Amino acid sequence: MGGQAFGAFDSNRMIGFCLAIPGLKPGGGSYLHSHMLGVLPEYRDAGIGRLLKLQQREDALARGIELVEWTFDPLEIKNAYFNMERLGTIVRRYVRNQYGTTTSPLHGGLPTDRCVAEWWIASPRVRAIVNGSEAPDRPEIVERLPVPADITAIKRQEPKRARQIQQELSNRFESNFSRGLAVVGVERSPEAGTYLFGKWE
Amino acid sequence: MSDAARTPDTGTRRKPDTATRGRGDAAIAVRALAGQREFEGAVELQKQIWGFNDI
Repeated sequence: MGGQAFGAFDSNRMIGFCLAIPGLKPGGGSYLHSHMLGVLPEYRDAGIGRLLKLQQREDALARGIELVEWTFDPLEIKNAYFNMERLGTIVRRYVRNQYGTTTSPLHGGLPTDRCVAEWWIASPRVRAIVNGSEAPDRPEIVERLPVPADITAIKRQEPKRARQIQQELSNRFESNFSRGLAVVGVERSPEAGTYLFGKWE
Repeated sequence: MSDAARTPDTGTRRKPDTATRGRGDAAIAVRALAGQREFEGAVELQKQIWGFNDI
C-alpha cells in the first residue's frame, strides 16, 4: 500500500515526524490520510509542525494528490487554529469516539471525539495561506461555537465537566454539519477559542 | 545504494533535505524517513509525545 513519512531533524536527532497513508474515496479519488504528526515539547511553537505539513503537501502534490485528511480533537483549540488558520483546512464531519477510549494522558479518559480536517492542497485558499499571502475572503459566518480556552486544564482537573462540554460541542457540530455548514475558521482570545461556521461550496 | 538513500518500504521517495528553519543555533531539516532505524525512531517519538502507542 505504501505511505508517506517525514521526520524533522535537529542535526541527527529526530525531534518530530508525520505519517500518512493513501486512501481511495468512493468513485476512485485518491487522498492521503495523515495519521500522526508530533513534535517534542521542547521544540514546539517554532513552526516545525507547519514545516512537516508543508513537506507533506509538496510531496502529495507531486504525486497528483489534492486532498489530505486527518482528525483532530475539537477541544484542542491550538491544534484547531493551526489546522484552519495556518494551513487552510475546512471541517465538515464529526466522528464520535473515533479511536475508543485510549490510555494516553493527553486524552484525559474522554471519548476520542474528532473533527475531520480536509486540506484541499491545490485550492487557491490553501495556496494563499501557505504562501503567506492574505487568505481569500471567508464565506459569511452564520454560526459561532466557543470552546473554553482552559479546556486542557478542565480535562485534567474536572473530567466530568470536560465531558459535559464535549457532549454539548458534539451536538452543536453535528447539528451544524447536518445543515450543510462547514467550519471555515477559528478565532482565539484569552478566554475562548471559537469555531466559525459558514456555507462551503 | 546505502540504506539511508534507498527508497524505504513505505514507497516514500527519498529527497535531499528540502525544508529547513533556523531555531536558535539549530537548523531543523525535514526529509523523508529512510531505513529501519529511522522508522523505529519515529515509533519511539510517538511514545514520548503521546505517552502511549495504542493507536
